[in-house]
Order: sequence, then structure tokens, then C-alpha cells
Amino acid sequence: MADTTEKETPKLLINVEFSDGLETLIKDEVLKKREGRSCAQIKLEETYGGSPATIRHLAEYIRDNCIKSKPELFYDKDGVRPGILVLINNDDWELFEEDGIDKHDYKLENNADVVFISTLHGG
Amino acid sequence: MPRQCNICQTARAIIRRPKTGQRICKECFFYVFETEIHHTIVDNRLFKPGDRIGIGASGGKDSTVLAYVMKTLNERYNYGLELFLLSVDEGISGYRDDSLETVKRNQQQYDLPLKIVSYEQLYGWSMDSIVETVGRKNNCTFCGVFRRQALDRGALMLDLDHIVTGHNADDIAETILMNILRGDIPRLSRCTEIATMGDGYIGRSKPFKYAYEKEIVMYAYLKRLDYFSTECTYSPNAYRGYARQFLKDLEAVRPSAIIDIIYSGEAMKVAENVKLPTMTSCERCGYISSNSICKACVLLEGLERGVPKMGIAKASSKQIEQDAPEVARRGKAVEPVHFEKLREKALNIRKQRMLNAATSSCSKDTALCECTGDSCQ
Repeated sequence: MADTTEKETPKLLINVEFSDGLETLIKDEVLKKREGRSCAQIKLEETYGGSPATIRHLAEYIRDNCIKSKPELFYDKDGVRPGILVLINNDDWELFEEDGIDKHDYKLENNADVVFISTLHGG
Repeated sequence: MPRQCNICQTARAIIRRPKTGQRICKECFFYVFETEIHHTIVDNRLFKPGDRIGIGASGGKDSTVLAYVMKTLNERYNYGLELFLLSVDEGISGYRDDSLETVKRNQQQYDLPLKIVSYEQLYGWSMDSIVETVGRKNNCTFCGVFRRQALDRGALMLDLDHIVTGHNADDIAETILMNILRGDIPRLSRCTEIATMGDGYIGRSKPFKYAYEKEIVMYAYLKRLDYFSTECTYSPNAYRGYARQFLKDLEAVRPSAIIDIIYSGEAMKVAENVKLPTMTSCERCGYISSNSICKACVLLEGLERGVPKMGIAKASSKQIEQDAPEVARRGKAVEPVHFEKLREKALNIRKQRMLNAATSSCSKDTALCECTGDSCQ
């Protein structure tokens, strides 16, 4: 991940929540319980290789730094694993999928709220 | 990228519907989600006024949303239903005890009576003690078989007319796939039905049959409903897990895949030369069964006799008999109450209720607590 090599650039602070069983994949030291929710604050670089930080960078950061084991349960070869719902600032990220535009390319701003909800666990 | 709701054309869209691709706002989402369930209920004539309905409640997202929506629709459209929360305590510490706490909070939040039936009380065996005996490999079989009966037993104790469960479109599509993959034709032909006769006395239905899991989760999340989401501590059902992931991969490419699989399942017809089991009553407990002894009774006998492979293993019955220890019945030996007896009791409760209704002007069901005894709360 590029975050160790680009220490000079300003950071983005992203508020992340893991829900419906996903929190069990996340390292305890990363999680903070808030009103029964499993939250984490994640610092991203503003840019990666010259382009602005996207939800893909966030997901990759989580995969590489926050998952206890089995990162493929969160992020498979193509991106966030199908069956995990993502809300960006309370919007379903599938809204951002347009012809030819991948929802993973959604650009994150400082202080964005991102929720990952698993639908792969039992009801 | 603000965009307008495809329905009201004024508010900002917050969700893309998997079924239609529409981008809609929060209020319109709540409205269309609830209205679709209403149509499912009305079009399929799932209930009639005055019905006593048990909502199979696990504390998980599906059944919590179901309880909330059933209560909302019952009030909004005057269904005239009496709603109950019906929960099964399998006896899995660290899992079901926590989720039952959620159900107890739901009982307060939705102001619905709650009945909990436990495996321990019904069968003399909790899942914890079953796992201690059989190990972690086949315990899901016990749990599934016992749960189905437990809901019917609970429903009879409350004299319910009908049980609704939170099975959603994704669950049903998954089950169709699994039954195809296993060649389980009797289940394949049954699993797409929105309503079944259950044990022959108490109907069952799935009002969420056409509701996508994504929308149920979003609904629960946006409404801030109080639900429980921890995986069962015992081995998850691996086969179902594969089917689920496969389905989610398909859905990512083509969101209509789920509803399409259900449509295919509904349209399939079992060939005339395929032999389907005829249903009869279990000689021991009176439950509906395709054999003279139902699966639950076989499994229980295996547990009691110390040969838990009975009813699950491919081992021959001879081998099972040979493996049986000398000392029979080492379990706690609770004889499950015969279904005829439960039905008789239910009938008495009904009579009593009608009598009460005739003599008292109070519309509240005062007979409920006296008649169900012990764990009625």
C-alpha cells in the first residue's frame, strides 16, 4: 500500500462502520463501539499515484490493515465482495454506478461516512 | 452527484432498487417496500380477518423487519389480525441467548405478546447438549428438524391460525438452487410456494418471498431497527454458504437473477413419473411425516440411545444397532407431547376464548396468559 511512502501528503479522515457480522472480521484495536455500532476512523492519503482517493483505496486499506484473517471475505479479486452493501454518506453506492463507471471509483472527501453491511450472514 | 427520486421527483435518491433499477428517496423506498409486502399479502390471500398470526422471530434482521412491517400494515390497512412473536430457543449459549434478548426488546418496542419455546423444554435436549453428544458436524440437521416442529408446537400452545417467517427472495432462490444441486425434488416443488399447510393444522407463509435481502437490510438500517447479527456459534451450513455466495456473484452482474430463479422454480413442474412421498402422521408424536416415524423422533431416539448417527448417517441400520451401547436411554428422556394432545388443547383454548369474548366486553385477550402457562410473557 502506498500510505507508508507518501507520508508528506495531507490525510483524509474517513468514518467507517461495519455491520451485520462484518465487524467480526475486523481487528479489535481498530474498532470503537459507538451506540452499539462498530466503528473505525481510517486515515487515507488524499491522492494515490496522483489520482484522488476512492472507495477502492479505502477498501484496499481495510483489507491490508484492518482484517484479522481471511481478507477475501471482505475484498475479493475484483473489489468489495458481492453481498456486502456499501453506503457512502448514507447513499447506496450502487447509485454511483453508471454506464462505464465503476462504483469503486467514487471519490472520497474528508470526513466521509462509509458503512459496510454484510448480507452473507444468516438472518 | 445529487439525483432526484424516480418516484416523487423531488427528494434526493438514496437507494437503487435491485428489482427495478429505480433510484428512489428514503420515504418512497419505505412506502414501496411496505406496499409491495401488502400486495403480496392481499394478492395471495395469506390471512383473513381475526386470524391469530405468529411471527417467527429470531431477533435477526429478517424477522425483525417482518414484525415491524406486519404491525405497520395490520394497523394501516386494518387487516384485523392478532399478532404474536413466536421464538424458538435452541439452547445455544453465546448466540441464541443474546438474540432472544433482542426479541424481548422487540416485544416492548412493538407491543406484541411473545412466546418462547425451547428445545430443552420440548425435547429434553438443548443444541449445546446435542453438540456435546454428536459433535459439530451434523448438528445443523438436528437444529433444522427440531426448529420446524418447535414453531408448530409453539403455535398450537397459543392456538394460532398461521405462522409467518422472514424468508426473503434471496433465501428462496438459494433454497431452489440447493434443492436442484441435491436432487431434492419434493423440497424443490414445495420451496417456491408462498403458503403451505405446515403440519396440516397451522398454515405457514412467507410475506417476504419477493423482497430482496438488500432492501430488507436497508430498511432495517434506515429505520434503525433493533436487531441481532451474529453468526451461529456452531458450524455454519457450508453448502448453503456456497449457494449464497454464488447467488450474490450472479446478483452483482444481473440484479434480477434472484427473482428470475424464483420464477424458474415456480414454473418448473415435477414430471409425472417422479415419485413423491405421501404424507402421513408420525406414529409416535403425530407430526406430519413422510415415514411412519418422523425425522425428529428418529433423531431423538438416536440421541437417547447414544447412537446419534440415527437419521443422519449413511451407515446401515444394522451397523447403527451394533454401535448402540448396552445402556439405553442415557439422555434426559423428555417424551415430546403428542400433537393430537396439543391440538386438543388448542381447541379448548379457542372455546375458552370464544366464551370469554361472549361474556366480557373487554376486547383484550385475557385468556392468553392463563392458557399458555409457563413461559408465556
